[in-house]
Amino acid sequence: MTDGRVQPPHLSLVHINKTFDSTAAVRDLNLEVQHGETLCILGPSGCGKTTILRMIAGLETPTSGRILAGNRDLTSVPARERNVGLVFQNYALFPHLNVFENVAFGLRARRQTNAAIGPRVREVLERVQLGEFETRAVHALSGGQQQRVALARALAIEPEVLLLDEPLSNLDPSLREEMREQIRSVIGEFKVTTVFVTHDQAEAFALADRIVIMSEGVSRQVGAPDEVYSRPVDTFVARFLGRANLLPARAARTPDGAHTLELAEGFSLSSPVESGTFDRALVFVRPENVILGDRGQTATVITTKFEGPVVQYELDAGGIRMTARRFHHGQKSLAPGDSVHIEIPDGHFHVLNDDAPDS
Amino acid sequence: MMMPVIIFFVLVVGILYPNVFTLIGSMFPDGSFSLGNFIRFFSLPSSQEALINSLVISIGTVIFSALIGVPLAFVFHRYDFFGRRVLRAIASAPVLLPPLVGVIAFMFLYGETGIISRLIQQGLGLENPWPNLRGIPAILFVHSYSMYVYFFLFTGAGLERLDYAVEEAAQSLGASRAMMIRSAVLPMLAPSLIGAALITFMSSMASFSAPFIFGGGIRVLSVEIYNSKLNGDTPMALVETVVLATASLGVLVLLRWYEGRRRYSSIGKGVASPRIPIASTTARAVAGAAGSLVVLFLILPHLMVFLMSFVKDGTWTIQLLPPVYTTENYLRLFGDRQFFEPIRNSLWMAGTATGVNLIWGLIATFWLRKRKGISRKLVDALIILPWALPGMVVALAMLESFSTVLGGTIVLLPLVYFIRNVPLVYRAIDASFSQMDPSIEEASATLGAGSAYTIRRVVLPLVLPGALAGSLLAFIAAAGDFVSSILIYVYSNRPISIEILSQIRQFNFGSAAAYSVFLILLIAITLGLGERIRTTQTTTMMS
Repeated sequence: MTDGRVQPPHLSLVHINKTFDSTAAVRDLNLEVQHGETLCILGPSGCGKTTILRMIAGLETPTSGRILAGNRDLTSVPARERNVGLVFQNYALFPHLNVFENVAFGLRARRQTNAAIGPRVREVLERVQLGEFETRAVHALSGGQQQRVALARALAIEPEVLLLDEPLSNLDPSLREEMREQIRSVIGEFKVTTVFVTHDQAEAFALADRIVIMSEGVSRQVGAPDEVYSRPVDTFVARFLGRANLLPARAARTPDGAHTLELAEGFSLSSPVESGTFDRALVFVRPENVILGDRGQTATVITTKFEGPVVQYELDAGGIRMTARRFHHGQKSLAPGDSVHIEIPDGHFHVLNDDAPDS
Repeated sequence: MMMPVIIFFVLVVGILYPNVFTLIGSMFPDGSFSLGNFIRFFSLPSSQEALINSLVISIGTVIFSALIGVPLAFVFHRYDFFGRRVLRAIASAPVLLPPLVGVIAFMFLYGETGIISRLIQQGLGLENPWPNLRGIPAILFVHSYSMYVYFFLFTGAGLERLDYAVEEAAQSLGASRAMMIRSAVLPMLAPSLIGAALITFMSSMASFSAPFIFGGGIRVLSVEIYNSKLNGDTPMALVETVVLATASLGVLVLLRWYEGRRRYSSIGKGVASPRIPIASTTARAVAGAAGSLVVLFLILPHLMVFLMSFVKDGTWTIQLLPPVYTTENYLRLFGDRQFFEPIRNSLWMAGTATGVNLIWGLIATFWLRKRKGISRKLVDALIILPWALPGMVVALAMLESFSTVLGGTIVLLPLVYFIRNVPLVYRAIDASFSQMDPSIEEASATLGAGSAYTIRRVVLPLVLPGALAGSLLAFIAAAGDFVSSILIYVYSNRPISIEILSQIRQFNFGSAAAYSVFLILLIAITLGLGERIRTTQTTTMMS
């Protein structure tokens, strides 16, 4: 879709602020979504992520800032003229219309002819595998089917941007994975630029090309899933995306002049950055990156938690508490009190500024 | 711009103005301020008697209605027995009787010459008929029959909401059955019971037909207003109206205050209680017999009216059962223009009033639903007034305040029907709106629909079923109305209820009963229609 020329982003949010009765829901948000990209806004509930979707859809007006589609300013364009397909969290299907009429609604509102509407609706319904449900009443469908009707209804109008609000949260856990794959393939087939909102990191990782992590109305980090997971910018992002060890460390140097990070007496990691610029830092390590073996720092097992494929250990390593996690491969788990050696190899950890704002 | 004008015209001119007019009229009898008429009211023994009777009857009605309705609701909710569903439906049979018709049926059953009274007299060889009801016991009897339904329905709804797990928790903590009911069930039911009690009290204070027809000259406020007006003592009628209105509004304020501080509600969705089947054969026999008796008692008034409708006018005098039967009463109802006229009057007046109710209600809810703050509160308070005020109060206030413009015209009575049903229809539509998921309208907008298109294709189709169901209830109330009609009708628009009364007074019991059967059938059919519309709505509302 890019032909080498510099193309403006498909959708841009520029310095967006949104305030409800003096509480700030979104603060100075800047965001760009490229053509065909799937962007996920991830954050705990109440972080302002649904408000962002509603502003893109035109259901809320930003208190300040601009929303652009390409070079067109959408900020004051009413919802009905934006051509944005929004799938509501509760689907918001029209209960008095059947499946076909729900999907046809946007086309009828655009005064399209029956001759044009019929094939288009059938095509979209076919894509979401609801071809034979045309005449069903929507309340006679399962949750997953209703979800797909909502998706079909949003896609039928050939939207500029598809917006999904917590697309899987109303489904049974057993259905979620299946539906996630469906959404992924439908988005891919329609090649539609998509922004979706979720509080579930697994959903974000599975669907998104890029993730925006929000907290309290502020965007904390924007990046590809593996990037935000393994190189969080702050402790909030580190903790929100999964279990994290955040170990306070002191900058030091070995006798031969190499930069190190000292976690405890005799327990140092070689620093990936010039440590002269700071005194103290936080070493961020995911539990699966703490390697248990027979080399390195000695540690004592405090608790053992069996979690199916993996076993999680709480360890005491020279006075530092940390979590390690490994596949158990059928061998016997370590028991509390056992001694073990741990290693945190270069590249398995990431250094955060200690004075970074904590959440 | 048209919408607020239409809304506030009705609220200000139709509701606020008559009430303010009445209040001012009662305090400025000759153009200058004087509480003389209030002093006269409170010092007259007859007025005191009316006030005390009204209060005593209302309190008695609440007690008896509760004693019938609450246990009955428990039995239906907790036990399973043969014919449970049928019985449950029949338990609402009193709803089918317009107030006047019910009272007349009771008179012919339990009054001095009533069939039951005389049957008991003959069966037991008594000297006088028994129970030979009249006066306060008669009123209490009729009231309990028609108003226990409030307790029955409210308690039933409360029990449905009750989380049975709470009871099981109480049991597992070692509570005895009595303790469980006292400490776990009753506090949870309290809102339903108090709501039912207050509404029963208000209905009883407002009741007119029972004391007017069956009271044997006993004084109660609602009837005193009518008598004062009829005797030309308008100042006194105004004062009595203000006193009755104050009492009713006082109870309404109490109800609102209580609803505001309601303490208990189930936290979770709750578990429904299992129904205990009645297992032993004797218990089943006893339950069956008792159930049949209850059913018989509940539908006896309907049967009575039905039987009477075949009595040839003027033939039933001192016999236990009517001696001569005929279908001419029905034939005349539709064959004779003179006889058909009240039916036509009732239908057009109730129909027009209800149609206006529906349109006004749609406009008002639509305009008001997204508004908040003090103006909305004010509007809500005004809208509820015609519901909270007794029918006689609304009718007298409107008669007095509109007499110079509309007095003696056929327009005033349907106007009163309209105003009295404003709260009912408005609240039905409002409830319909609030059931609608607000994101549905947003969905319509994001799909490219303009607001007119959204209203036409989404909002109206979703709101209309509830609005129509509410309007049908309003139609029933207007078609069967007696209390406003008797004060306001003119000969050319006399409704069915007035014709029934006049036929009774001419001893044409058969004709009166034929009109009554017509009303009962009209109500039954309308209710059935409303129920159908409502159930289709609830199925489409589920998503």
